[in-house]
Amino acid sequence: MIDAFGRILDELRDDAGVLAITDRVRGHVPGPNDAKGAGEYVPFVVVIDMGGLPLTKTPVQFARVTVRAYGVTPQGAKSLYVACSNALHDVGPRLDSSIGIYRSQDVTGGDEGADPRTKQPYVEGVIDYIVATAAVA
Amino acid sequence: MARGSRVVLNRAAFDAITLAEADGVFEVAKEVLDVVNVPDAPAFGQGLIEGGGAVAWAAGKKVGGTTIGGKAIAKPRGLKTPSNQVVAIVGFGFPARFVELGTVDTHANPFLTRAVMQVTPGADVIISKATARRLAGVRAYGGRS
Repeated sequence: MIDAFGRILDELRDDAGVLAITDRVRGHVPGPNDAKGAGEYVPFVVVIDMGGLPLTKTPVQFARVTVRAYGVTPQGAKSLYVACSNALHDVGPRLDSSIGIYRSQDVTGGDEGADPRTKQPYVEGVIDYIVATAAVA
Repeated sequence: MARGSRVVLNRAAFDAITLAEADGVFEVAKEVLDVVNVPDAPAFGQGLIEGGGAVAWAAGKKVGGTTIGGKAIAKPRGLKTPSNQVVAIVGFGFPARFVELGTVDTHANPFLTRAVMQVTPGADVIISKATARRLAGVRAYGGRS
């Protein structure tokens, strides 16, 4: 298999809409000084790798990530999530460093929540993508 | 001489078919419950995951349900159960969401997604068996069986 998780992260980090709000796009867990208490919130994104099913007779994997966009306010969290969704939703075939992504799609839209400790509002959703499990020339 | 054709719908069987479809998707949801490995570590300050279950609706009516932990499952607010569809859900109660997807302090542990992905490839077989069981008692149109 090929790990395309980093490629998804890069696409979010390079997206102008996301960059206009924050450059804090993290994989798996928040970065240093991302999670703060009330009154000190900063916008940031955590992308969580949910795994995915590799097919057996075709070099393809149906992979899934959860994108959680934290905002200073619930509205800000939604704006950041929408920017992330726009960066990845219904984006067609692309190739980067032999990693071939056929298509990525926002399959849930944004769902509101708040962190149990910091109470920082977030909006999260699931992005599915189809990726080649072998290097693409 | 040209023969005319007349289509007679076996309306009674439509209900059976709808119920059979509901049985099928409910069996898939129950299979997820069977294979899921619920973490026993509490999410940050939120206690343990204690309850979960699966529920199915056909044509907007609840037609099946099972629980772990004893509490009845209410239909999630965001869930639509249209009158022309069968719907089944499987899940766990609070704080499963924070365990599944993590918090600012804890890593995600997508235990439910793993179970779903484990079951999904064989869902067609599960649905087929459950559907066949329900339809075994339905008489074929024309009364010859």
